[in-house]
Amino acid sequence: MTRETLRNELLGLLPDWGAKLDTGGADEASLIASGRIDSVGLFELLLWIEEKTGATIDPGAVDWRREWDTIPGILNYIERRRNGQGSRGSNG
Amino acid sequence: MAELDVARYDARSKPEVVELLRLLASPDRDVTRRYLEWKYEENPILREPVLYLVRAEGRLVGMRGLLAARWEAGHDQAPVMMPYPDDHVVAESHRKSGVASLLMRTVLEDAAARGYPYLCNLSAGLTTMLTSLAAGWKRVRTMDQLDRPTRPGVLWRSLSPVVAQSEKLKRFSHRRGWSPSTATAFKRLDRIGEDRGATPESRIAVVASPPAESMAALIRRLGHDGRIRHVRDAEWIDWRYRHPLHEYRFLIHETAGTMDGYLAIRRLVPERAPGRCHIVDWEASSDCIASTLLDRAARWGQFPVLGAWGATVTPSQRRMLDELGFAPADHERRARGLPALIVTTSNGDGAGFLLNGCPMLEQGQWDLRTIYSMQG
Repeated sequence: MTRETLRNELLGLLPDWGAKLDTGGADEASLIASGRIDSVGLFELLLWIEEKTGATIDPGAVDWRREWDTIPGILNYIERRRNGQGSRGSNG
Repeated sequence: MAELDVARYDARSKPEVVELLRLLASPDRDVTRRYLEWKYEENPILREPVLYLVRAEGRLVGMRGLLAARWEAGHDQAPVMMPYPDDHVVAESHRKSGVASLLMRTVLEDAAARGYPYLCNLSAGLTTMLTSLAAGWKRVRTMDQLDRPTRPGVLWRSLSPVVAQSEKLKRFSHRRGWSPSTATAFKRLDRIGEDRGATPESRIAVVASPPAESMAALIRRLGHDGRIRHVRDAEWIDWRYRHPLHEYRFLIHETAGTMDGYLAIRRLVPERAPGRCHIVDWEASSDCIASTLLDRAARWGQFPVLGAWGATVTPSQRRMLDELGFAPADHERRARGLPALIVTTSNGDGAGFLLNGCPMLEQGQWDLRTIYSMQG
């Protein structure tokens, strides 16, 4: 699955997870720090990333605001995991 | 989506809070009311209920409580209030609508206004854990769930295929204590009642209510090594073990009439799969007493599953658990880092995350017990 396909799938799912984005600035929009996605939406985002990486993710080992706050950040994370690299920074 | 309003709990809101809390606590309205009253009105640390309520068009759609918790850290320093946000419920109609974030912000702002610089949580489920980490909470450590399953007896292994086909037989075998259940395990402990202890002049008794004064006295006698731990005085112990959704048994070790060890075990009411009882606190004046308490509990109770958090025991207690067959369990939750101790600061300034000078983000600085958590 190419980065563009993943991006389109994610853009299609974000409204279902509670994140309303302007089409123009979707890539720059903050998803988590802004509170656009919370609670069950975060859970669904986690499950989607797990499906794309094929691995269970320990959420405490992810720097949410640095790694998952934007669409490009999430796509970069998935690419790193697929290439066998871990998280760039731990949350604590 | 309608605008959201957030407000503090007042007693007039109790009926609607009970209705929403039923999603989390119990479908039974009376049990849920009892749970609410026990947790937020009877807590000896703070008898003023602190809960935050979110309404949409006047209807309650979200809530979160702030449970008062008093911790000691360092040597000869006054205890510090570090509350524990809990009972996070959002109505299904309002999930993904910003209620969780609003509640989180409100909890932190109010905690800061009350002068509580830090908050902690030891029982977050996955959704609350995600919401917390996304809001900047720090994970200190995972709790390392260990289980010791007991293989059912020969009689039950031969009867169970037949019993499984009949509701009447299921009820009958449960009443007779044949089927493996946590209730049956507690009945087995109760039948033992009392036996010899680790030494000739000592005894072990099984009791259903905590001898709070003696437990608190033992904790005081054993001393405090300066790590961060919850204050376990008699008043708190007496309150804490009245959790309406849990039932407890205590194995008390006494020598010459003085308590020198105890093991507290919890079962869930009503029973839930996998029928796990859990060691929620364990203190003893010697390894020999600690080991005897654990061995007797496992042997007498024959629990379907007896669990413990590896993060809450000393290295010697961990060896005792290993020798008795406790092994890492709950692999899916474990892979997601659950359960875990998480902490945050209420004012955005962690000031080094120091509690009476103890670095809170270092896992070795905590002396944890399951009873500090609402899992206990």
